[in-house]
Amino acid sequence: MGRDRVGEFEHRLMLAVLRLGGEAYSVPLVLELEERTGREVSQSSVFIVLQRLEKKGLLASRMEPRADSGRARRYFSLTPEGMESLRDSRRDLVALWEGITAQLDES
Amino acid sequence: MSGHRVGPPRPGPLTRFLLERRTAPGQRERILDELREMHEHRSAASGARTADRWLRREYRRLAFRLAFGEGLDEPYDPRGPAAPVELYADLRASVRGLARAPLFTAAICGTLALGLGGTTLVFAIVHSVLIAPLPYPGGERMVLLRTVEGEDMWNTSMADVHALQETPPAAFETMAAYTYRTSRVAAGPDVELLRTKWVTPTYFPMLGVGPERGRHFSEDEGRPGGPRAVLVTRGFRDRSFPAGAEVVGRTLLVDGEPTPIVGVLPDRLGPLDRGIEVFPVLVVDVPPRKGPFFFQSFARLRPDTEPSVARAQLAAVSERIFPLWQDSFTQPEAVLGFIDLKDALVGNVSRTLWMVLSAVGLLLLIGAANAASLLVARAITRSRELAIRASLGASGRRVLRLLLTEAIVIVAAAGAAGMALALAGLEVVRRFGVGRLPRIEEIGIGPESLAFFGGICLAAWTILGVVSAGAAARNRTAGVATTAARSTPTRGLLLLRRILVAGQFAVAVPLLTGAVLLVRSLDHARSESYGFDPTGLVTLLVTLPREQYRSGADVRGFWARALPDVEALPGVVAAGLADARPPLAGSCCNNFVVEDGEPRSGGAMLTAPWITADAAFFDVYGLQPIEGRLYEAAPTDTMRHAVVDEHWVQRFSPEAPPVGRRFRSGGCTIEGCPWVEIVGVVGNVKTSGLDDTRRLGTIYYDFARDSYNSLTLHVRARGDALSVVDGVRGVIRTHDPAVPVGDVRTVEALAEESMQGRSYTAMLVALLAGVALALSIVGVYGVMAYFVRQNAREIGIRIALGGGPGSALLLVLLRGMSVAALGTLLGLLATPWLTRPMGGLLYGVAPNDPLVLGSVAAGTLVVALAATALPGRQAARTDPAVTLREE
Repeated sequence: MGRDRVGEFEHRLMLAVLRLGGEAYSVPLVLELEERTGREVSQSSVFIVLQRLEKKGLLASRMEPRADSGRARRYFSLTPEGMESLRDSRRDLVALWEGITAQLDES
Repeated sequence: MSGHRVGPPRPGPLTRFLLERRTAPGQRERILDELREMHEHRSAASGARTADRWLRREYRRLAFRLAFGEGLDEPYDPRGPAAPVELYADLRASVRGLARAPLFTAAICGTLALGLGGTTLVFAIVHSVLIAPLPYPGGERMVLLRTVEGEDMWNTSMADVHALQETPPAAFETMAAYTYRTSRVAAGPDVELLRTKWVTPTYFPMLGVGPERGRHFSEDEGRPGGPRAVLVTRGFRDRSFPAGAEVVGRTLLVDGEPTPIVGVLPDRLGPLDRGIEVFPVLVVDVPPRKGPFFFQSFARLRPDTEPSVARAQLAAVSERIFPLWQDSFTQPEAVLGFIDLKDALVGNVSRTLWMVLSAVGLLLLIGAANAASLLVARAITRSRELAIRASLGASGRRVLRLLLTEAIVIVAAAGAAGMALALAGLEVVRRFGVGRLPRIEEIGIGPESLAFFGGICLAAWTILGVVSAGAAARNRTAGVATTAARSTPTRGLLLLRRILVAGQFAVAVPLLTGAVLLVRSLDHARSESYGFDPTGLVTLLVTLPREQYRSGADVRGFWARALPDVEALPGVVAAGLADARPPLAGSCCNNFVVEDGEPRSGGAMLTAPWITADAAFFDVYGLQPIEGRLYEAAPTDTMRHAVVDEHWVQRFSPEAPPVGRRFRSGGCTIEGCPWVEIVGVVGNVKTSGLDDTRRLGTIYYDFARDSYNSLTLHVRARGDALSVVDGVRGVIRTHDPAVPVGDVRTVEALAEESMQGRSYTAMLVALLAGVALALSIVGVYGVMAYFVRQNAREIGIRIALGGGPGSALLLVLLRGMSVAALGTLLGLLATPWLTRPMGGLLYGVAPNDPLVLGSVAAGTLVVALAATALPGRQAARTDPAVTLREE
């Protein structure tokens, strides 16, 4: 049975979770992605895609209970399957990039 | 955050609603909290304003995603997702599915669009022309008064109008009368020749038409000796006077008489007044005799008046006035009666319109059948997909909803295209129907037509939905896995499709037959002999002002001077005068009494077309005497002379030799009325259209004895008829610049004009028949192409077993042609049902002409054969190895 394909934005989000220490909620994720890519990121898309990744079993989440005047947050972390998926894709990409980086720089 | 702000923007009601519906409990607060937190970050980084804009944009994005995409931790709902969301998903699935099969979609939508659009267009016309009440107050109670004698009906006379005005019948709420004349009208130095309508003062108040400026006619203006008065339309005013000028109170010259303009009428008058711009007042006076019957009278009956009561009152008027006019009117049986004004206006067009409506209705049926049969084909193809869906747990309701949604998408697309088609068709009808369709300015798509359109769209949706759902239900029960299931569950559906296609042929064949009959009638009529050579003949209407040319001698004097100059023009062969223009003479007949003729006790007088012409007229038309002679150019004796044609002899003097017999004009029974002697007989000439089969018999009456101010100048030119027109105008102008020349038409154009109604109908029915045939062909092609695909295995086996490609071709041809032949046969049986009521529209061809029927059937089958041969060839090319391996 083939694994569900991971889209580009999903991939980036998972990497951002990893960069933020393996667990994060939407706000730092948006800020991280914007900082790294230099482009505005829609928070709504982040909500939806995080949920989709959770359905695929690549992320898990927990609710941070709402304190008296504090705010509710939902933290997402990578599951072992999520980690595995990132490893796989890195391996594939590195293998594909091997020996051609120079060509790309030249052209 | 700055002090004056109360907080970040709040989500709008739609976003809140969607959050409520599409997120799990507790998640809504969390999402809003995280958004607000982000807002704070953005506010600190780039200012509150930018942050607010961002947050609002984010709310909109969220709403869009929740509405059209996935929800967020949706609450579990045993009924499935919210209905609108599912509907949207179904719609999207349908549109995508249809877009994946563009040919199928185009075929089904095109078919339906033709049916929906065509039916709506014709319904709009039928409704506007035949059903909608006249656009006048109490229009449904308006009646046109007629003189009725048995089957015969004609207009009323001044004597009738006078009597009705003196003592109006109690059943009448109001009444009015009018008559048309061709008048010379001059607002300035230029004289125009216009068709004018002379109306009684009650006319416009009765129609509910008020002048935009000025006033109605006063009662005085309608009385003998009263002041003259005229009403003009705004269009006439704008055309004839400087812009912005006040014209009420100014004087118009009507037939040379100074007439004050008392009011300006709006341009859009009702169907009774189409094309008329000048309305002088009609003065009703006691006439010298009962006839002529040149006056149209109409009345509005009181509400709740029984027609029989009104008729009895009118008959009483006739009876009362009969003795007064006995000297000039000998028909006591001819009494006043009436017909519905709308029927009178719509006239003979109603049969054509109903015929076209039923033809288009049939077309819609074909369209629906075709669309349904295409859907069935698709259902068969999709039966596996649907079965898989069902076995994967999609409920029957879900599948049904998907199919019904698909039907909605199809009908919506077809309806939009159909409405566009109807609107475009309406434009065409408006442009080309002028003069052929009554009430044309009222034709439009009103609320009734929209309701009708909605109704047939709903009906089409129901048919499509029921058919495809039925097809799906049959298939859903069948298994998915077995290969045998591939053909067995679809056999019933294939039969249904074949029946539908046969039905299309059954409808197309009568329409085709009707079209061929009408086109052949047109050909027959066009090839009819005029009775003379029409090439190079042109006619011009010339009107001599009555105040200058008071007597017949004045008129004849003008023409004696002008005609030789016209004949002397280069390119002119001959020129003559008459008060009629064959082959479209227009108003026909005069009544007469033959000396020593059979007395007709109480019966109607003899009537025949009556053309006043000079001797040169016969030269222009090349008419030679068959018996006797023509009348001389300059008569010497006091006897009045006439020439008749052969039909007249056959009709009125079959026994006695015609030359030397005498007759006199009708209504002229008093002693001293002059007799007219027949001096010769000429060949027959068509006077009332090339397709007129009545052998009425024409009288040519000597112009030298009875001349009119308004006459038609007939000129035969060498070569192009219109090349001499400028020269002729010049000659008339040099003799008298005040004489207007108008209405220039070649005789060939007149002949074509007499064919207009016929060619219009033929074109319309041919168009419909063509569409019907095209749909049938698409149908038979579709069903056979599908058959070939579905039975590839059987065909492959046949070829493999040694039948060869020929056997496959034959199999397909036989299958397809059996459907087409059955439909054609049914169509032939149904044909009389359509063509028999067409009898009156046919000319020179019988409704059951075996040649026409045979060629239509043969032609249909040949085209069907071609349509079947395409899939047949494909079948013949089947590679048995490939198809068998696929199994």
